[in-house]
Formats: sequence, C-alpha cells, structure tokens
Amino acid sequence: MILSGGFLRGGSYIIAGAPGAGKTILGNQICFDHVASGERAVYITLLAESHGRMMAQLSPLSFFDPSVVGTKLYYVSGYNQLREGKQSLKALLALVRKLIKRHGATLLVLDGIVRIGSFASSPIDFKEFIHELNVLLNFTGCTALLLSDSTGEDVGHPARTMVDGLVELRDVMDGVLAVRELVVLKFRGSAYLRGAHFFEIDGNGLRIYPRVEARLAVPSSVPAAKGVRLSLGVAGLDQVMGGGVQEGTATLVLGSSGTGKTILGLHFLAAGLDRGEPVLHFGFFESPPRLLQKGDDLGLKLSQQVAKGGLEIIWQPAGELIMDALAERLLDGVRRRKVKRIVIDGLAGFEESVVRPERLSHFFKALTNELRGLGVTCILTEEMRELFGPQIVVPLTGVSGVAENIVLLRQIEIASELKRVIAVMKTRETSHDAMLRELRITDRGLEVGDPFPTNGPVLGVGTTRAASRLQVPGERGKG
Amino acid sequence: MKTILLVDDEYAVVEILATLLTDEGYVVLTASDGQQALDMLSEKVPDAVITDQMMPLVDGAELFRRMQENARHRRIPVVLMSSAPMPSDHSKLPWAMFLQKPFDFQDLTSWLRRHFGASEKRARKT
Repeated sequence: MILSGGFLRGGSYIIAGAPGAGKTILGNQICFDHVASGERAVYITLLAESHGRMMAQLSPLSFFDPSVVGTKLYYVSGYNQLREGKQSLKALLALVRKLIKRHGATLLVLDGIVRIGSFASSPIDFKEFIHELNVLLNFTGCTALLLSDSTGEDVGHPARTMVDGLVELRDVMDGVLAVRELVVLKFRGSAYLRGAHFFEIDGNGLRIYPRVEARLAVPSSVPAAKGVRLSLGVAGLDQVMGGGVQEGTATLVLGSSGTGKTILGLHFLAAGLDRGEPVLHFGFFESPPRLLQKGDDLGLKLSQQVAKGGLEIIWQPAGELIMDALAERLLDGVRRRKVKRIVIDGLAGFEESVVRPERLSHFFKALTNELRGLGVTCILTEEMRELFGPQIVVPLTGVSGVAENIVLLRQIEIASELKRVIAVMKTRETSHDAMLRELRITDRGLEVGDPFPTNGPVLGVGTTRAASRLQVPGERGKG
Repeated sequence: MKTILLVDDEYAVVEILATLLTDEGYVVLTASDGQQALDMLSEKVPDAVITDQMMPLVDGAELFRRMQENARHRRIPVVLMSSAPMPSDHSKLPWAMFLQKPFDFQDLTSWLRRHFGASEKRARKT
C-alpha cells in the first residue's frame, strides 16, 4: 500500500536502518513471501551474521518455511569475493550474475551494502559497481534489496543517488516509548505514501501500518446523502435532535465520568439491532463482559445479539498501541461485517496510543470520512476532564470539527443535588432543540426529560440559575 | 560458436550484456560507438550486430545504413536497442529486431536462438 503495489521488477532498492531496526527480518520476510508466490530468491550476506545463526533467529517467525531454504531461496556468502583485492567488486558482481542465472532468481537481497563500499578502491569504483548491478538487474528482471546500516545522516552515500528507491527503518524514542517508523525517502516510477509510517515486529515479522491520514486522504467511496434519520434509541432524544441523527454522520458525545455516555452508545447500537443492522462497539476501557452485562441489565439483550452475530465488541485494553493499527482493526471490523452503526467508546484510547499529537485532528478526519464513505453512522464518546466548572473544553484538538452533531452530558448541582443534564450543542445542516434537559438513568436506560426548569447559566457555571440555552456559533437551533 | 558485435556507448550495458551473452556461449566483440564498430567490421564479420541507437559520432541508424552499403555486411542481422519507444510503423523498419530499453535479456536470447537455429536449418538445406 505504501509503495502503491510494491517494488518494481528489475529495480534496486536500499533498505537502510541502524542495527536492530529490522532490516534483516524485512529482507527475509520479503524473500519468503516472494518464494511462496512461486518465484525464487537469493540472499547474499557480506560479513554479517552466519547463515546458521540467521536461520535460528528466523525460525520462530511465522513466515519462515524451512522447506524452501536451499530449494527456492538460497543463502550465499559473498565475502570471499570481496577479499579478492582490486577486483573484489567485479568478482562480487560476477557472483551475483551467476546466482541469478543459476537459480532463476527474481529477487536478490544483498545484506551489507555499506561493507561493499568499504572494499571499493574509490568512490567511483563503488558507483560503477552499483551502476553495473542496476544494468544487470534490468536485463535479468531481478529486483534487488540492498540492506544498509547507514542512516539518515549518511544521505550522501553514493549508492543512495543511484538506486530506484530508498526505504529507511527507524527506531526512535518518544519519551520513554520506543517507536518503530518506516519512511520511504525515494521511490522512482510510482506514487507512494510519503512521511513516516509506524510498524511493529512480532511473531509474524514486520507489520506496517500506513498512516491513516495518508492512506485515507480520499475516502474509498462517497455515498450520496439520503437524508434518512436514524433513531438514537433514547426516548426523547430523537425529538430533541430533529428526528434522530442523519444516516452516515458522526455524533460526538461529550461528558464527564458517569454521565451516561456508554449507555447512550449502547442504546444507539440496540436501536440499530432492532432494524437488523450489523453493529460494532469499539472501546478501550470497559471489557466485553462488563459492557454486555450493562446492556443486559437495561433490557437491551446485547448478549443475545453477540451470539446471533448482530453485535461485535472489539476491546482494546490500554497498552502501547499504534493508532494506525487501531484504525485498521476498527475498519476491518466494519468492512468484515458490513457494519452500519458503530460506537467508538472513549476517543482518549486513541490519544493514549498516539506518538504524534499533531496528527490527531487529521487522523480523526480521515477515519470518520472513511466511515461515512462506508455508510456507517457513528457515535464517538469522549470524556471531559472537568466534572464541574465554568468551561466546556473538548479534550482532543480538532475532534469537534469532524462530527456533524455534538451532544453534551453533564452533572450539575442544583439545590445540593447532583443532576444529569443533556444538551444538543450542534447538528450540522439541520435544526435541533437546544434546550437543556434533565437526563435520567433508569433501570430501562436513559430517559430525556422536559426542558430544565432553571433561569440561570447551568452548564457554564455548574451551579444553578439563569439561561438554559446552548448555542454553538454558526449552528442553527430552534431553541 | 556464433560471434556477436555489441555496440553501445554505455559502458555498463556493454560490460553486463557482453558477460551475459558470453555465458550463453557466444563470442562477443564490443565497440563503444558506431564508428568503432565499422572499424571492427572491416576486420571481422560477425554473425549478428546488436547496437544501441543513440550514440556519439555514428549512431545505430547510420551504422546500419553504412553496413547496407557494404556487400560483406549487408546480410548481417542487426538488432537495434533504444531507450526511445518503438516506432509505430516498426514492421516496415529494416532491423531484424527492435528492443526498447530496459528489456528482458531472455527476449534477446530467445530471438538469437531462433534466428541462428533458422539460419542453420537453411544452411543444411542448401
């Protein structure tokens, strides 16, 4: 995806990175994948680790297939050729040529290209080697991956200017967190996703997550607006929102802890299930058993729906997560079951996974656009840090802009009693009732009451009195 | 063994292609431009010429034209390589074969085998 289809046949590509960045695993992973598709590959090492040691390190990885080693994938040392004095590079090139021909290889890995440079008698000598290697690859249709220890600082390395592409693997520290990044610095002959993409190395080898805002810069489809309104499943709330939420829109539910955000999400999913829609709950905090128990206690029969396949719960307990990986799991869950409604419960889960906070608004914009493109109506819940107070602050920058609708849930103190209130702050391109209303959590779930009987500012101050109207600039409200 | 005269101003192309052709069992003579190729043709007549089109001094088209003027060289098949796309009316062109760079070496060796196989058959019949 990052390379718009992969390396080009007959091209030469440097994979650079400091020791431990994952070059050897990536080189081998590509080789095993290549031979699994019926092709042949040659892996040449140059004073790197021994082949036996490399096999031992690769053998636990899922892509490793010992049956192809020595039959379709050949490991050869080129170090002896490099020791042949002035003719060392010619000798290495001759070895490459013979191996490609003998094995019918269409993929070659040269592990340790910098070492070849150190055996060259001059920079020109090394450039000639790369040039001749490129011509050989062109004529034989063999693609070469040149693994290099040189990193970003060594951009002037002569080989870098002569190859068809340059991919850098980085292992960078972000605070106390170590983060792996892949950056394509150059790729001739095809478009590619620029910038850094996170990856992880596990038992399956490298797993790369293209940056969501780059990958989904344009959503996969743009469905026509039908103007269909969907029920949120909460008595009274649909009327407040002008008849429900529009299909294919995102509704941000803001509220402090305990105000009923998760329950609102469950109502929304249950309303979809009543219509026979496949729905998805994607959350970070409440485990599936607790969530189902909560829904069942409210009479929403969610456990039954999980068994029937109508509802799927994807739970991402906190950890060192990559937000692009989270988005991939989420979108996979949507596409796999053609989900029509989704609740993303706790946007802070994405925030906790993020390494580049400046990406957040672009990330959510791309993700919600893709969900709209897939015809999904979604609720995004976000916890406000302030229980009470004079300000309403959306914790994640740029998130409010990606939602068509914003619903605020809050607790206020009235006459020494805490009450929950609900207010619709924004509905894009439709009118809504902006009155502040009481929100009750009963044994049947949420109930929206009549307009709140106060005359003073309630949400802004947190304690009684004054106007109960809310208006977001630029939005229409019939009041 | 068949002898091939390989002409290209790019040293790496000459170097690699000559080695690959040698691996296939051909005797390969090399020249770095058309003029040098003509000088070599006056001394030795190869079984085929493989030439680049765009070269300094004498280019591939001129080399071909001058070969047509010489009765000893007129029947030598010429394979033209070029980075430029194949002309749309290539069927009317006089080259035995046209290869647009970069090309697969297998395409060249397949043609050579077919050509030399056919010419040997003709020779046996006569």
